[in-house]
Amino acid sequence: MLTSQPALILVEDAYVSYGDLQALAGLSLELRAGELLGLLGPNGAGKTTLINCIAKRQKLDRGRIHISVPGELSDRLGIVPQELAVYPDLSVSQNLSAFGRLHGLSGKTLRQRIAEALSWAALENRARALVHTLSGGMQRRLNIACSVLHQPQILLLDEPTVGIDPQSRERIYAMLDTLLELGTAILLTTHQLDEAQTRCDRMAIIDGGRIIESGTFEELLERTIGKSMQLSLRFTSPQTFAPPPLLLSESGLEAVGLLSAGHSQLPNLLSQLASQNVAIEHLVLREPTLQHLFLHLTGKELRE
Amino acid sequence: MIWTICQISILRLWNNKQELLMAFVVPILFFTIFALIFSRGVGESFAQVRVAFIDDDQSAESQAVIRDACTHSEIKPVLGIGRTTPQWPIEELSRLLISRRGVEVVVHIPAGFTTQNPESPTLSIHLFNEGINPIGHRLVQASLAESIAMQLSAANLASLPPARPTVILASSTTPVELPPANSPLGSSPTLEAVEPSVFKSVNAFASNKYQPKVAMAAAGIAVMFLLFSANAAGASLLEEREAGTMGRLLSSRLNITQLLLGKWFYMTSLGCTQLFIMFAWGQLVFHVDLAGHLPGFLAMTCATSAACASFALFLAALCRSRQQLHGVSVILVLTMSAVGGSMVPRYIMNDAMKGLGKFTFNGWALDGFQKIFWYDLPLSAIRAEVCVLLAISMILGLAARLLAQRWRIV
Repeated sequence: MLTSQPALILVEDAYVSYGDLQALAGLSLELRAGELLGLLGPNGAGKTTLINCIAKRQKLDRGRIHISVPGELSDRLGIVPQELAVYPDLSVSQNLSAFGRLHGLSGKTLRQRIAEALSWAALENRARALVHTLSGGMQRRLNIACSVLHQPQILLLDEPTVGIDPQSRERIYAMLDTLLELGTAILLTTHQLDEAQTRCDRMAIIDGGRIIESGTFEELLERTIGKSMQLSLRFTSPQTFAPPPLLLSESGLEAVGLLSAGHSQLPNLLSQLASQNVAIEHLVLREPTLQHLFLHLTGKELRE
Repeated sequence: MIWTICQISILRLWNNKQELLMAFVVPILFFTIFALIFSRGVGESFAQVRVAFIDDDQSAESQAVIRDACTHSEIKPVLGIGRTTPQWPIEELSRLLISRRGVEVVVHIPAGFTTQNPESPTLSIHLFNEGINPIGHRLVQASLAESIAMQLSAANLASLPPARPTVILASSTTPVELPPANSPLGSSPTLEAVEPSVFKSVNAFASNKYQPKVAMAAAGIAVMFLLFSANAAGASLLEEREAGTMGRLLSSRLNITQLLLGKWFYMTSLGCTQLFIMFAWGQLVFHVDLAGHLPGFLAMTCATSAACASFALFLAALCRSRQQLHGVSVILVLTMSAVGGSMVPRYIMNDAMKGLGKFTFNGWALDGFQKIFWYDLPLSAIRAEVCVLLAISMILGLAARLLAQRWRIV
């Protein structure tokens, strides 16, 4: 359904470098209306550079970014930085009022939007509280609310759920869901792979300044590791050899491997181990996750 | 947009009681301390020297000299007239009085002060001072010279033998006799030459008004605190940059010029308010004549605040972090305040230092305030000071804008 929506952001062959460091190296991407696109990549992959380029706060060395929204970009774009970019010594409503006015809101409209934002972020009861007295989750919600007061058509979020508890995280995603229903296009960078897998409509995996894969989780699986399943084994005694595709741990007590043929490969593997008198203490067979996919594509843990 | 930035800064200050205290109460506190130092208490306008008199002459003339000296406003007699004994020679007694009784100067009139001494034809009074206060003993010396001239003249100078009157100065530890030529009385070859003339020094500008010195203290302290406050406000730019707030601000309709202008207006308004509050306090408590000099005060206040605000913006744009800004601004503000006259009155500086002071905001600002509050000059007389301060403000503001260009890219 989303593929029928128009692309609000189209990034084509974008290049940006800082001296010798290539931050973006031919990156191409599109973001459609009403879509939550997860941008996943290890640190230094180029995520923040991409967001800055979309926000026109950084120039491309080469390539093009086309944003198909009418009017001034600042009125159509909302940016939620990773940092708590609010004033800690102002109250919740003072922060909302300040950022609303900087986006051109005033008078009755401003008051109405502030009331809506307070309700949306479940901060009505803390409207007069100074921000530094709020919990981390509340501060994060306010951080997002300040960016959507002007009802942007595109919202760029840089790790909006970092360092907060699961309840607050749920609340933030519920807030984003309401925006998606209104047709807002959301680009989200996150290190929470489980969240990206369950929440995002599409994912783009970025590494070395370019998108190495993008699509829905199923599409990505199909194109990469297919129906492979991950097998984890723990032995009763240290082993010196494990049959392929298993890889032994340093201690020799554990082994992991990707079964490309899924369940059907398991009986044969187990009988090979039995023939070598290997006693298995524990066995886990898992469906592939985004983490497996990410490791497969980048060869890195996300936080590397 | 500019007003919104200004308003954000005002609200932040209002919500942060500690900063509010630092911005308004602390400068008043410091100003009060300085004002008390300059005026030696509310209502008094000069310092008095604590003096003990020891009269070994015990003549009617020596008693008269002492009595007359005690009427001088510079002298605060703290001990009655006594005399030395073999157990307590004058040096020993002086050290004791200075170290134990808080006396600053001991005046000793030796025996034979008014009678001829064939071996030493001089008229000597010994002054023993603590050696710390460089001014106190000179005040006493001048007062005594006047008293001697008055009293000895009155007691028929002609009856005295021709003698060289001398005041001998000595520190409490190492008495030193100054050459007679250095003494006001010693410069006269004979007593007959000491006419009963009285030298009276009159302040040509401040004799008929309230506390101009306090006004100058207020200006000095105010400019120093203005610089500190402006730099603290300027640091908020770096704080916003480090916290990511600047990125959010610049992704709105606001541009970097509006952001800087908003901060500049806030800092200038804050400076004007601080100066006004300090001078209003000065008027209320120390009788500084603010109401009588309002136009000049307003012109100097606006120009000084504008220059300080631009200076703070320039430093903030120049520095990479708040720590760096803090270090640089403290050094610069303290240096400018010391050289420019905020810490030490410029009138006690030598010409070279006064010239150096012209390279500081403090120097220009204090010159302007001096013309208004001390010399009672009209608004047109501070044209140069106002123009220089506004020019500095403009140049530093433009420099800050150029340097802040890099903030557009985060």
